[in-house]
Amino acid sequence: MNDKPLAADGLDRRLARLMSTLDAAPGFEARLAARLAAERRIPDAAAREHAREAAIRARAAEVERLRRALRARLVLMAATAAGAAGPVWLVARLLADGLAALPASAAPWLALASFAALAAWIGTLHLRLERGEPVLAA
Amino acid sequence: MDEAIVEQLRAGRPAEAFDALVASYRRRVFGVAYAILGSRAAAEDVAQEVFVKLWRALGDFDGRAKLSTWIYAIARNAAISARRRERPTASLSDEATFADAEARSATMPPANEDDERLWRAVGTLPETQRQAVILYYQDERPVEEVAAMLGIPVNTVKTHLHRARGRLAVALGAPERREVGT
Repeated sequence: MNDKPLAADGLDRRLARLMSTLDAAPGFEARLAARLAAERRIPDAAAREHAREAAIRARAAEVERLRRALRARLVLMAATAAGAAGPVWLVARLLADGLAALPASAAPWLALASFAALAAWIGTLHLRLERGEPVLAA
Repeated sequence: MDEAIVEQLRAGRPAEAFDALVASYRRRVFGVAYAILGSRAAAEDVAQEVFVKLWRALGDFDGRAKLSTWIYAIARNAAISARRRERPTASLSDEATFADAEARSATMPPANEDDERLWRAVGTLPETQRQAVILYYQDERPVEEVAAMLGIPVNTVKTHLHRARGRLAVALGAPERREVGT
């Protein structure tokens, strides 16, 4: 056995001639370049689509956050209105029902104290709103 | 050539390295794919696939293995995978399968009747011998390179070539010779 087993009888020349034609079809490199270009485009397109979907998700999350913030603010405003209406009503009732029973000299002081208490309560409420604390908490 | 390609890779010029690699290995990768698949169209597809894989993996090549060994392994595996995908129950060791595959091939009609006979005779060889013959004669390569391409020992390639010679000689009408020691 040798390294060139078909040598020197013409057969190896014929085999070499026959096998030498084994090659990719013309334009192999161009097809490969096109394929590689397509490969590179696909990741780019995928990245763009991914970014677009991420932007949509971020936008939706922002809308949801704003919606929740608005709802919370409306709840706070309603609570504030309700909370304010109570003392106003109470003071009005006290003024209406009690002033007549009190000595005339005490009525202005009681009214002043009631309005001071109401102002203090509204001020506290305002501070809580500013700080984001629960309005109706004790 | 391989050293130049590796040098270009190390110098951070992968595009140039890849162009050189394609120019240097196109025939060899196609040869490996054809030897395994027995079809030019399929070999072309696999060769394209191999070079795309090489392009993707080129940055990971650390130069510890020989470039050719790395490329041949990728080409061999891609061709074997393609063969499993396309014909899961057939084997190219089946002579008819190889002949059919070549007959379906769109290119390379044998130039004359003698070539036709020789081509058919190659198609009747057992798969391992046929692969060795194809790769050895495609560019009259050293048996060491054929061994690397097929991932088998050098002596096995020599044995395949020697036995293939005997079979081809018989198939082409030469008196049968006894093989001694192979």
